[in-house]
Amino acid sequence: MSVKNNDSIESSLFEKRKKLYPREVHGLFANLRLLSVSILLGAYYLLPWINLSGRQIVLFDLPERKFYIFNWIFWPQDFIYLALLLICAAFALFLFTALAGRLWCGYACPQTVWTEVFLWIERKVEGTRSQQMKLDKQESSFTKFRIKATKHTIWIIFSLYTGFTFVGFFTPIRELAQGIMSFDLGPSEVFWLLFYSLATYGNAGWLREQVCMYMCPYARFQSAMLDKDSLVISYDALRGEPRGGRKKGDDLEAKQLGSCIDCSLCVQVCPTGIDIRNGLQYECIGCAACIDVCDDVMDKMDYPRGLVKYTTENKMEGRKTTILRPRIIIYVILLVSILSGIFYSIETRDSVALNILRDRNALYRENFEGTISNSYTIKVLNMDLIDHDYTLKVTGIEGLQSSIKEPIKVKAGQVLEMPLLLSAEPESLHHTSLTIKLTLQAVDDINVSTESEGRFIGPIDP
Amino acid sequence: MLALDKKLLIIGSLWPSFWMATALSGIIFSAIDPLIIASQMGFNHVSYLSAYSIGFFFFWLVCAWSGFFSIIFSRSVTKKNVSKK
Repeated sequence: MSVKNNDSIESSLFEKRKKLYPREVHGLFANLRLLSVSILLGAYYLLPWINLSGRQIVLFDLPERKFYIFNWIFWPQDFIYLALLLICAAFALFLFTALAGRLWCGYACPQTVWTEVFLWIERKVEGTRSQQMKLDKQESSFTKFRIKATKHTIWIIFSLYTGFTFVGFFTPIRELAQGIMSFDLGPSEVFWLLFYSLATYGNAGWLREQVCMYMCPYARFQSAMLDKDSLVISYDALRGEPRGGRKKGDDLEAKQLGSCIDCSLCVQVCPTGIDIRNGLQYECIGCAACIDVCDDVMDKMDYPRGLVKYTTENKMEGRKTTILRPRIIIYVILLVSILSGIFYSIETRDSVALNILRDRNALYRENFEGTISNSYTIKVLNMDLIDHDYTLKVTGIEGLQSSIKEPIKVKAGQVLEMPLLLSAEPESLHHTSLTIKLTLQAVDDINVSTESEGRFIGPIDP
Repeated sequence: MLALDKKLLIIGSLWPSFWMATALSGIIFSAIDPLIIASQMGFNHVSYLSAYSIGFFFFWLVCAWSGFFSIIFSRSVTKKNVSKK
């Protein structure tokens, strides 16, 4: 790459930002976004406060190394499910992008969702788009300071509550609230609360569209998932051009004008500040604000709606749009099979686990009565939702004696760690190292059982 | 204000490494209990949240370090010569 090229790429990456004042918009897609924002934020802020049989319904309990999600408990060994879920999320993203473009960006991305709230607060405090622009141009004054200070105070309070809720997914939120009231929080809790608050305030209050344009990896590669049959937001240039001002009811043919009245409202409502009339651009997050506002204008002018609309490249070129294309079918098959696999596997996974660890200090011990013994530590994980009593059977060596007193009582969701001493007669040890099999069986449920293998070490020449 | 290439260097190394550190924390700490590592290093009074946080920042640092050098080495040497003139 030449020196000149390198420079131009780097300067276009971080050009000086002009502040955008997205105009408020009403309409079908704005309502859909409001609905999506309400559901997503509602879930985010309310979920940690809901309790189910005495515990938080969604809690990523780091101290206990357990994730509680509704009726499920996930242990560290269940990390595979999280990995599979992330793969599913990626496939879902590919599927929705191939079908309908950047649905995620326009309606569900946390950046969009929180920016919507911050914009709403900004409009409530500073007024409409033109009032905001006027305020920013004003000389410094007490009124300007008061308005700006009010806005930032509300933003900061909202951000802090967001950060508090975030930490509340990892530490029981009621205890966290009490901790804040009594100024009794651990340093890590304070750090993450402030970190997430700052990220919210910075991203949704200050950076906004810059996150989508410069920091989002999805924005960079989403175009690879689009094809000629994907829904994109597009301006109908054939119908709209030549654009120009006119009065309502003017004869378009006589004036040689298209349907676009060049009111620039589509640019004013755009949260990333682009002009959709210049064609599909990677900055477009697919929020459809331009569709809503243009439809309004078309209604006022008595023109048919849809000068800016959701359409496909094929449709614009007069060809048929196919929804069921090979890539869509493949994505759906993959998504359905992985998801059903995950749910099947979660529902049928073992509800008990047994870990056995040999004592590292001694290989074996010879006892008074002449037997050879090995000591271990065993861990019984009751991953079920109810308490269980277990029996432990050890096989592999004839006449093996175990020190365990049965039944082994383990409460729901608990890990019991206990020493285990196994003793055998020297005559039954045919080799220096023998494999032993431990079978843990719940007393009250025949389906709840697990097996684990260990080694029993004896003298070199038995 | 920082020069453009410095900004790119800082953001380009810190931002992707943040996500990598998140993923690494999830994978590594689900396999290994961070308190075991902490106790083997002689820290016996560390809370879980602190252990996870320290681990996360360690991963972030390591990944950022790698990203930092990737950016440095992706710059052409010729350009460096030209800009010094």
